[in-house]
Amino acid sequence: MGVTEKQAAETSQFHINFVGIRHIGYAVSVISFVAAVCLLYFWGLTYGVEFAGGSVFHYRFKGAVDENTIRATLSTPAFADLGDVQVQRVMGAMEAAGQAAGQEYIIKSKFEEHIAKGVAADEVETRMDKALSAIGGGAERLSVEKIGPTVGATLKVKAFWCAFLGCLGILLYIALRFEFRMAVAAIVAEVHDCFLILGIFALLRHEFTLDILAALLTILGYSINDSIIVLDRVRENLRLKRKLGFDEIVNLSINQTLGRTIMTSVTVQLSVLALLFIGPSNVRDFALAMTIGIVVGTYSSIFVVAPILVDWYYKDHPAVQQKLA
Amino acid sequence: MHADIKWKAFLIAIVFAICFVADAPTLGMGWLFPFFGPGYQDLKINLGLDLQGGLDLIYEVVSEKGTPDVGPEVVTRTVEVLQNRLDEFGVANLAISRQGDRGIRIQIPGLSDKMQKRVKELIATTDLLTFNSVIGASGNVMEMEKQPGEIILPHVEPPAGAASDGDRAEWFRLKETPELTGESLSFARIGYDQFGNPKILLEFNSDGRKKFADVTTRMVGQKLAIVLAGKVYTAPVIKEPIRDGSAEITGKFDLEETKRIVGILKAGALPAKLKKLGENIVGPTLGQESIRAGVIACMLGVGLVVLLMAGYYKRAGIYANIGLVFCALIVLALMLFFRATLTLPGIAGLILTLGMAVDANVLIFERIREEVRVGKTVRAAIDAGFEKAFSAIFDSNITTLLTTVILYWFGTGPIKGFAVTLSVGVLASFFTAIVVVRAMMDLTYSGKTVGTISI
Repeated sequence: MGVTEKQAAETSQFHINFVGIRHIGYAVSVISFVAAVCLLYFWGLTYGVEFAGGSVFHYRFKGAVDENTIRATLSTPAFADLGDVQVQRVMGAMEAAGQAAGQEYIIKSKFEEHIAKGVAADEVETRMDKALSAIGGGAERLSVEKIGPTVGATLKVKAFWCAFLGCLGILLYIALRFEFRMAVAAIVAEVHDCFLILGIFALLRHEFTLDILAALLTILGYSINDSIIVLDRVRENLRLKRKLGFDEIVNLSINQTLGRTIMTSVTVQLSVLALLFIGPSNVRDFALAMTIGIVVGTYSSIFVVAPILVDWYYKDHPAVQQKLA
Repeated sequence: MHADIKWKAFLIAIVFAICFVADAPTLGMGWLFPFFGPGYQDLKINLGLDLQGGLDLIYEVVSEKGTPDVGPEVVTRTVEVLQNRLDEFGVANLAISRQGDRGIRIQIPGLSDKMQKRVKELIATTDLLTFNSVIGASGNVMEMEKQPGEIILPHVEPPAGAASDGDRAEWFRLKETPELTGESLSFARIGYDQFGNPKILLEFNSDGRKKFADVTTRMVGQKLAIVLAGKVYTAPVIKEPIRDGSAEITGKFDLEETKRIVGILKAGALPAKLKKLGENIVGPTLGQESIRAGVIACMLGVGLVVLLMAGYYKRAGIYANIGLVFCALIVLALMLFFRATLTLPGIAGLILTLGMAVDANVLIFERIREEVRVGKTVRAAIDAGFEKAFSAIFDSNITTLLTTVILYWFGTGPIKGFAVTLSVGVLASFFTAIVVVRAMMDLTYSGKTVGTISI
């Protein structure tokens, strides 16, 4: 082949000393992680109806109507069984198409006894249809969702197990195909990403729904992808470039894969942004989670996985001199 | 080497042809193949309830007292009875599935409001048929005061004048514990009265015959209501004990409805109670709009990716784009093959898949560029690029598949759909990147003399 290792290093498009500035990476990661945990602890997540239980009604009005009118209509004694309602305007398809008519509202009630009451309770939405048609010049009920508290509680447990098993599976796989240190570094990055995204959702006060859970798991998959691409290169370089120090190898690997990292996050981001801006209203939160997650996932593969890998290596090999300071 | 490529190209062409033929009806291009017959034209992708509109109900099986001590055989029997009931009712495309130990999920696409209500009544009633003794009757439900151990039920077709006398009252106060239930029936069939109107003839089994005789002896001069699915059909005064073990339900129903009721009665009573845990009703409008918005977002997203790839990787990018379209066709065909259901998160998964599908190509192209920079010949750079990128693509795809398997296992409705599209997408993109794009590159740069590469 006749290509020296020095030359190989020079063929990399990028020459950024990521490993040298890893203390910045640590600082940013730790601060954002702690901030996310604090947010989750003090503000908490707003759980969607799938997790918390309750009823959600989605209506479209022909005429103009505002949140207060709807709230007033639904706080009459006839709707005493609804309890406190939360009225929220959403961007519907008709409005997105630039039509004045067709405002959509989502009405939420914490009330769960609709479900326990069975058949008789089905009349809640029938009563609502009538009352809301009177104020909005005609109302169309687009969907109704009622979830009892048991389902939600089961889901939370299941979601936890799902995330736990996902991480465990990935840990085992990487430990098997790569090495244990890499597996742990990748999992630390996963946990970091997971908390950061949840923290951002707590900060934005967006609801944590089943769709967001799906988005979260996809992001974890994406983030691990990113980590694997870098780790794969480290694995290869460790074999080929025996003269370089471990830190140099990790840094070179990041730089060599940087072109791919940027290009892939841009393409995935483009398709997700399309969903975010013009997708169906009910997948926008999903797209938002993805948009944030792609940035976080890309960041963590460079600034969480690599630093841990490097420092752990030198802790295990105290005699070896670091080359990039 | 050359013959090898030809074989590959041939194989790819066949896969492409199969996928295209399979996808055509769903893509609205079924008319291209009129000779396949009507069965083929209907071979479209299943849409989930969130896209099609419909009813999604979750119940928990509990004992009569509402406690959770029911065995698995009771749950199985409950599912059977529900299936029979709804089948007899003429509900199309319904899906009943078990959830966990005692959960039952019933999904029915596209029903009118009225039908939805009736279906829910049909499911919720334990005993479809009961005979309850009448305590009082009134035209005005507000006047009635319910005592413990009593229930108030409406008449199936309240009279216009709301008369408060006789069995034509609008509301009935009944003893909650039925005198007799549908369990005592041996069979039900359709009969006709002297005007040719259909009526339901009930025949009791030996046990039921005795019970019915006892009840009618005890209640001479009193009213006995025949309650079907939570509605009082008739409440005649018992004139004399009935010992022959037969009874009839008359009312103004048409033949169609009579048949339905008889079928449901034959299906029998539920062996346990159902407690509703949740429900989700999606109107048809919302679903259609979701599909449209999803398709537009999909086209825009893919369009942007295609432009970027072609702009950045030039000819190789165009190959990747062809691979991308191919990938989408394979995903759709595989989903049709597995009879998977396309849900809203599924569409999101599809868009995401297409975004990620190019990742394999990006990895390979970046690697080829690197090899070219090192100074390798075009031919060697392509070979090395595909070879060296393989392990990264393989490992990252496996971990993504791992995630989707767990998602599927977690699977609650829509998430399952998302997991299916994503995993199918990973498999398809693996094939298009490694085989299809590779074949195109090999065909273009097969000569040893090629000096430059457009990448």
